[in-house]
Amino acid sequence: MARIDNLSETELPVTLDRLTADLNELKSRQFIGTDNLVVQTTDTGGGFDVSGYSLAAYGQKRWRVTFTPTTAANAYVELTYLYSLVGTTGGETIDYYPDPDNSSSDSFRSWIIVVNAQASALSVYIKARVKCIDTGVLTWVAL
Amino acid sequence: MNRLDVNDLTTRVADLRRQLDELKTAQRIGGASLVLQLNSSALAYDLATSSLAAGAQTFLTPQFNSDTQEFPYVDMTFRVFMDSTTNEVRPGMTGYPVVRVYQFIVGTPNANSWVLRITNPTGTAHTYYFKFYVQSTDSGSII
Repeated sequence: MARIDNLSETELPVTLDRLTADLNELKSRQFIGTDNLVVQTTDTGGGFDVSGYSLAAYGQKRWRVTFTPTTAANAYVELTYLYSLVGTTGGETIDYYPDPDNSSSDSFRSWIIVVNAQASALSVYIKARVKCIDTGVLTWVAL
Repeated sequence: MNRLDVNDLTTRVADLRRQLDELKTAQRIGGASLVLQLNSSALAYDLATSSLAAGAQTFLTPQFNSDTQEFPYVDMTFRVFMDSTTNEVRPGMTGYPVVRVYQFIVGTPNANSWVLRITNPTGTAHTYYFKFYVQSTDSGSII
């Protein structure tokens, strides 16, 4: 018969039973939500990503913004941004949409941001930041 | 009194070790376990434009203050009422405004905001009332 340190012969089986019960509880479905989902924010780390770009009157300019998460495949990502269009006279637009040319990869997400000038030339400023459960890298490409 | 059997003890400890290793591998979080909340205020509407002249545009900035998470995932939708808080208009109906939406850059924790650029597409002045709904991984209030 084995004796293990100072545990009585009845205490050890009870302890093992409790451990097993705790493990089974952990292995049951865990709810993820308000209290325990951690979302990261990522940006390029600098000031404006597009800073003072000159857009001619009635011109259009597009940029591709791509977020590549560090580990998560098919990561759910939200794009947020702010902008300033300097020199507007009315009717100028800035829009974004999911990048149709890069929609099939599960390793990154990308969007197109498009600015349309009207009767006056513009100076364009844009800063983007994404939300994701993963860290990653945010890159810009002018199109 | 239980008597310890060395063979049984070894088996049980090995089983606990295996279960712990199982728990330490990547845990899948998905449809069955991710908790989402649909948030809205008790108000008939949350924000309203001033009287918008024909073709005029204005901005509204709804905000969702999340209770716990600093940067929760948020998916915002809205209903639009025109000239009275009971006259709901939907896309395709006469008078439905042109609404451009983007999520404003995430800066202050717990303060998630959007910018809506609203244009009156009709030939007469209208006032638009907006009621917002935010589906999120957190609960919170809309202001």
